[in-house]
Amino acid sequence: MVIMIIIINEGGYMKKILILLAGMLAMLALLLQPGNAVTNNTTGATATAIVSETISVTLSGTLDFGSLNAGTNNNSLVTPLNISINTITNVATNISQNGTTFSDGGNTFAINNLRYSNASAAPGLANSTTMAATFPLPPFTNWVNITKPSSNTYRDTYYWLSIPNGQVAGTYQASIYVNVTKYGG
Amino acid sequence: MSRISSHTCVMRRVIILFTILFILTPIALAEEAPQYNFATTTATGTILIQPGETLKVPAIYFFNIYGNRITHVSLSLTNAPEGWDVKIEPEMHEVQVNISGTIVTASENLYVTPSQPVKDVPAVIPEGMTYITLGGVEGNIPVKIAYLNITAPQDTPLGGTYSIGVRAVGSWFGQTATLAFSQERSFDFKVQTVTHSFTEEIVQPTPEETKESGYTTYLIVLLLAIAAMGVGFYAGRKKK
Repeated sequence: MVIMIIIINEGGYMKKILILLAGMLAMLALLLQPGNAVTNNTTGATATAIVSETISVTLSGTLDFGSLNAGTNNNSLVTPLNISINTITNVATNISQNGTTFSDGGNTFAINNLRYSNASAAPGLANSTTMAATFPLPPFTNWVNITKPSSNTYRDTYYWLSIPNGQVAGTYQASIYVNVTKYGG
Repeated sequence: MSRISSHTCVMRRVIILFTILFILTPIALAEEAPQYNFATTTATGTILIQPGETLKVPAIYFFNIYGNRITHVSLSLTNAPEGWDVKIEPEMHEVQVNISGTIVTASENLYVTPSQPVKDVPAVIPEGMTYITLGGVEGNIPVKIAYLNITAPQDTPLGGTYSIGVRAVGSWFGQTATLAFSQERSFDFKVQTVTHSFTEEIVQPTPEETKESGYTTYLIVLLLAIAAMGVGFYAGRKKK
């Protein structure tokens, strides 16, 4: 401020403007010092919510092959197993299946005699995969990352069963597990 | 054949015919295609537990609003922290089930009967049950609850994150009183060890940074002041 007073008395019109401008810049620098600056004070809080994961799947159909002869291959079921992913499901999902050994309580034959596919029409059986005792990765593209349904989403499964040569007569049963899990989970 | 005996024969045929119809019709009307619904909702997020503490936490809700067969649920632990005591409740137990006149024994943790959402939650809710609401479903859905009973060892370090895995299998009986289908689903629960009382203290103060920023500001002011002096001096000399 002392500097400004001395110079103004000696300068002309333009010079006074320059002097005043320089003084304003100096005052601006003073205002930027801590304690003089205008600051914004923003505070906040964290809101937290946990959205529960819901999966609802409804199966319909029967896996009754009826009477088959030993040594016959790829006997097909008339009607498929229908897998319905209900609309309340709020995650993308994957589907996979596995099964247990066929048994009549004494005699058995392996579950890999059962094949399944997501289509009956060609390529159907050609596109089918062997049923295993453990869950594989989803074997069909439309069983992977099934988007969160806005209405019930359906996936049909078609089955073919072969009976080994010489298989002892009896009523055989196997358990088929359908696994619908969160995609990426 | 006399008129009376002829009439009697006709009546017998009519009675037999109606009897057959009476037996068959209810079965035909009641026989709808089986729908096997396995519906689950996670009941908890991250579980917070203090070392040495025992918690009973609702873990999974099971319901059956799209099916017409009883869902039998079996639960098992697939993963638990070493040394921890983790149990599922209700525990696995045997039940007798009458399947179309055939009595079978099933092993399960709980079962879920087909149900519909209700407008009002009952005043008295049986233990092991509750009602929830879900988007897209009008009303309150009755659900069965599977709990996790968790005990963390006293010497468990604080601030750790652990995982508990549960496998759930829903099964249904078929016409021949054997299992028709099963659905399987896995759940993974995260557990963190914390203390339930909150404390905070400064352990290592951070170096002060205000002095440094203050020096910078004074330097700028000095430079601007020098610039102002320079402009003024120049202006003065120009006039001369």
